[in-house]
Amino acid sequence: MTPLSVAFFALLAWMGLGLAGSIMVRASGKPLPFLFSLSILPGLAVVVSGLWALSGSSVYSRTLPFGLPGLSLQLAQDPLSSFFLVVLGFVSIPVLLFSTGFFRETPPEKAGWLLLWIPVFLGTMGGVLLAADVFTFLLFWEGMALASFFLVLTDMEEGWVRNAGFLYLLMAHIGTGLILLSFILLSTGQNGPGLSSLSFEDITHAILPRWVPWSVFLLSLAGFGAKAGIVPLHIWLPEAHPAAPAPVSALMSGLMLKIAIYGLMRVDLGLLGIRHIVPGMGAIVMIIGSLSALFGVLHALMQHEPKRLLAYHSIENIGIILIGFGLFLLFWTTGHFVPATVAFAASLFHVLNHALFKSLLFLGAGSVVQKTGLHDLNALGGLIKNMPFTSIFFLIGALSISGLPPLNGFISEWLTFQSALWSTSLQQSFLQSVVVLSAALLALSGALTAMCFVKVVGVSFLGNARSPQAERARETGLPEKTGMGILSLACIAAGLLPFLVFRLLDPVVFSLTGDALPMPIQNHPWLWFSPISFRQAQYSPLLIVFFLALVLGILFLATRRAYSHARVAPTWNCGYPARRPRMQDTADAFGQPVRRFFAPFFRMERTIPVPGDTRPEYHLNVRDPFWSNLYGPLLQMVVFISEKAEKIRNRRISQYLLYSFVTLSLLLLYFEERS
Amino acid sequence: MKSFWVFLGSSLAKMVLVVFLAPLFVGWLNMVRALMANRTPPGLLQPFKDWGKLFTKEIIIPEGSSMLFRWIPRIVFSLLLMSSLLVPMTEPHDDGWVFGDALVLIGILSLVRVLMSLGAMDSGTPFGGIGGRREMMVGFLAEPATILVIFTTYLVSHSTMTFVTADSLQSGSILPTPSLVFGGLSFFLILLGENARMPIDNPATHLELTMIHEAMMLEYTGPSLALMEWASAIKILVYLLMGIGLFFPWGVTGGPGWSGLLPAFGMLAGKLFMAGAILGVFETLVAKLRIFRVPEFMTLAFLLAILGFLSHFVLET
Amino acid sequence: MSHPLEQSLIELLGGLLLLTVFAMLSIRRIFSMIRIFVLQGLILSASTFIVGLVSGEKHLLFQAFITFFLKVVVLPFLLFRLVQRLRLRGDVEVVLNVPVTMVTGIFVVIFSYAVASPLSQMAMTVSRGLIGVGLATVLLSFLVILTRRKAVTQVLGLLSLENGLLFSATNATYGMPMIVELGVALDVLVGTLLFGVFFFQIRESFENLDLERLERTWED
Repeated sequence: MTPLSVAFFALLAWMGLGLAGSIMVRASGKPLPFLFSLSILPGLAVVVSGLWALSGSSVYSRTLPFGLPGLSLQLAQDPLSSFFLVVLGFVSIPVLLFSTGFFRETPPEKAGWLLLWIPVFLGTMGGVLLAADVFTFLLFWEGMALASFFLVLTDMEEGWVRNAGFLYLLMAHIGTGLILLSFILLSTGQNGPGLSSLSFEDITHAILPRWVPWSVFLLSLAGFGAKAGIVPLHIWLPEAHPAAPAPVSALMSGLMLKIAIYGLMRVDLGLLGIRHIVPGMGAIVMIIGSLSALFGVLHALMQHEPKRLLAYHSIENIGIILIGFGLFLLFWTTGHFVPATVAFAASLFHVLNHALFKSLLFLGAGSVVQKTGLHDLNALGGLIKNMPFTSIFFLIGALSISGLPPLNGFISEWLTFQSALWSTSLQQSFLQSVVVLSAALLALSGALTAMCFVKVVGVSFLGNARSPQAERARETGLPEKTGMGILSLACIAAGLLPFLVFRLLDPVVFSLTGDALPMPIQNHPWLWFSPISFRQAQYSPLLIVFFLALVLGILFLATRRAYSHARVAPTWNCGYPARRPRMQDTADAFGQPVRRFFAPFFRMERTIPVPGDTRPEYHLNVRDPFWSNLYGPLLQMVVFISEKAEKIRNRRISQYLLYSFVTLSLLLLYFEERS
Repeated sequence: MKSFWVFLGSSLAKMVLVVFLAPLFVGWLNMVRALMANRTPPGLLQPFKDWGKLFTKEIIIPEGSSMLFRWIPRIVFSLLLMSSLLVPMTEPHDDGWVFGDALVLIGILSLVRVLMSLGAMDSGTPFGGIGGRREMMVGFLAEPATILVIFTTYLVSHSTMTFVTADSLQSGSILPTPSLVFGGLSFFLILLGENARMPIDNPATHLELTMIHEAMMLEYTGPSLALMEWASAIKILVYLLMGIGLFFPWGVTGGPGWSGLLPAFGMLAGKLFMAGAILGVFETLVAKLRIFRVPEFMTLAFLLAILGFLSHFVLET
Repeated sequence: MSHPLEQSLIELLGGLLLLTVFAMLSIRRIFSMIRIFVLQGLILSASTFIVGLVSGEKHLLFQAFITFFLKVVVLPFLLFRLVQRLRLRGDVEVVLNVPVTMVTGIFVVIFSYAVASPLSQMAMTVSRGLIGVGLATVLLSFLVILTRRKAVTQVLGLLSLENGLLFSATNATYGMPMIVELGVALDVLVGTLLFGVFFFQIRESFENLDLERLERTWED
């Protein structure tokens, strides 16, 4: 019995439960959402397996007795995959719990569909993490893409959902193609396995020609980046996330994007090997990361549909993860191991954080959409009165994602800053500038995130209801509340006890770099968290919370009388007589300063009424500039080329044969030249 | 490392000191402003009188607001009071009981800003929304600028701990480096923006076209208003203490024992006196910016901070 | 370094010089711009003076005095008078909005630092680190010229550009008396340009803008 076998059987169980669930729903003709709770057990098993493996530092591997002829599937579990397994298992539990309540009213055929594909999706994600050869990796990777594609298509009777799904499928396959290319390049090195054996172990030892590392790096960055949603390959994210049901979006955004990050780390650090990385690659990752972070949050601020907004925030958070990863590559390759390991830990910490708070926020947004039936922030308002639990959980998630102490989002951003501070020890002024500017952009996007979530929370949960649906909203059921509650507690716990997460990260960092995290030895690690040295930085969330509670307690006692006699009266509002809910700030109004300040980042269409207009109307449409500036021309080009190609297609068979003949001759000529 | 009880006692003493020092500072600032405008100044203790009176009045909660609205004044006050423990004032610092570094302080202040904006939006009025939005607008440029200022001071001390930075600057040369000059200027602009001072926001008017901070305060009454105003006073004091600790730390931290406390306190009082005078004169001399110009002002702070950090690479290596 | 105090003073002045150019980029009023230009001249002459003291080069002291006389006394006086006679008041028209200009400015600074770092390793002067600042001043002044429409502000940008050239020359190679000559020659050039641009711009405004007001200006 090894951690790997536990994890493996858990994955099998997920797949089996998926099949069984869908069959049972079909047989009974009822939605049976409680079946989701069965899938929690494999989730628990995956967490146990990950923690178990992380308690040591050994690598477990296993060859399965099936697969292609001569190429049986190989699995392996090292600390990196174990860490991601913990994240996967832990987040899957509350999301599944949430689903048991959330899909109560779903029609049976859809429930059966979800019961089949959600566990399969989870299982394939775990499979990607355990894969130890190219074939297995791609098999699970594609399985994951297809399962999520089917999940996006849950409401496929709606046209825009189908469009979103196909866009996602297209981007996913472009990504897979690039990943495949990078694998092929990796396996063609000298001493390499060629294409006969595709195990990761053999690829690692290959000696690569000089041009290969850069190509592999760029291909993998683009390939996994398309899945993770880096700019400019992010366009599918804001379409697919709103299309899928909330728990599915939570899984896709909270987990699947992390699997793509895992793939990037696996290929760049594991297969390519850290010896092939040069500082320029780190700089590229950092630049893309900071651009994604800024771009994501700016567009999130423009959205008024909660799930779309969260999708843009996923782009931002992937950017933050990549900033940490880029810092790691950059510092490591220039020989600064202390900030490098801290940056890597920050990046992995943010992987966990984002998985926690983003799934929490998606679940919260899903509850709001389900209970009000509204997809527009501008029609909500005052939900905290009718949905207190959902509101508080959402608020915790919002404070977390905004990187505010004492919650968990703060810690990963803080660690990234602590590592970026070392930029002074870099030699080249270009790299120094990149690090400083990335840190500045990270800080900027952090502050903008806070603004965005003040908008979301303020407009939807606080103030007065802007529509009757919002006024009539009811609190979600117990399973939903429990699911969100678990995630909120996890956010708080990771924020208050960051050293526990660091314990998990230490073996991961050690196994990939050979260096332990530079945490100083101390008596009370739970009280003072210090990533590098006591002199450079310390943080004591528990002391802060303790003193905060102390002051708040005294203040509460001192003002209790005044507040208990508080009188509720009509709002003063500077004495303006008319007061309607619609006079409150809307989500669009909230984004106005940003829209003005960062105008070049948006593509805006506005109609402003002229004075004297009897029926004044104000319209604003903010779009992603990448659609019109990159994908539009690209599409036109594809259409153009296809039309040209059309002309040579419609010919007689002899002409087709001629094409083949010419191609063959040219290829022969080429190989003759080479030899 | 001293025992927990000594630590608890000294921290409580510091907080009590901050609670009473903050209104005094605001009183002094208002005196300077009044003198500059040829008005008879109110007494130094005027804030105590104003807020004391507010504490005797009743609290009115606007219709439609939630529990958050009741709690925000108390939470904001506690957070700001707590944050004063993260900046060096007069006390010896060589003990192991630390709350966090300057970045944590920025994080807490950012949390305060978020909560205040949420409280404003909870009142459900158009003015509250405007105030919250504008506050966040100032914040989204001020916060990264503050973080970059910390980056700049890190260059001197290789630490983000405010106490360590203050310490290593004290032992260094008296002449500031260019990066510190840039950082200091940037911090001054941030201080003005974050505390709703003059070119950004006029603390004395309630003109709806321009107000930021006051728009968020409109619906608070009685003790809750007093708490919010007191909290703002603490906030400006915390910012000043942070600025003093990072850029003018001479004499802040007295010797290792309790004996150095009195002269250090005298130095601090002198510095705050000067800071109030400078701030008051500056506020009288400049004109209020249009709200659209506020981002430009804060961009300047942001860019100065970046510039400060960059000039280290070239000038000081 | 043998002169730590002077060294840090020069660095400080270098930083302040950069600050003045950024102030020029961000400020919208003509009078304030001229005042900043005065400040810039003051900083420039002070830093030239200190470099002269430290290095013992007599002509640098001389040059510092010339700079002071020309940039702090004569030119500002001329400019103030011109602005008053032209009755140019209020805001400067900017082509780009200020934040965008300033962000561009940051990239210009990074660029010039990166370009200057090999140069400053070759130079042997006390203040070689400041070449980057000089270069940045030159490029930022270009930005000032590019983003302003009014003639006076463009001339101010040009003058500040010249300050930057002088500053980098002083700090890169203080041994050469040619620098003084170059400086004076550039001043003359600037003088001619000043009036050339003026006449050109005024004629253009004559056709486009407020005709009456300009008529009156001519009659004075």
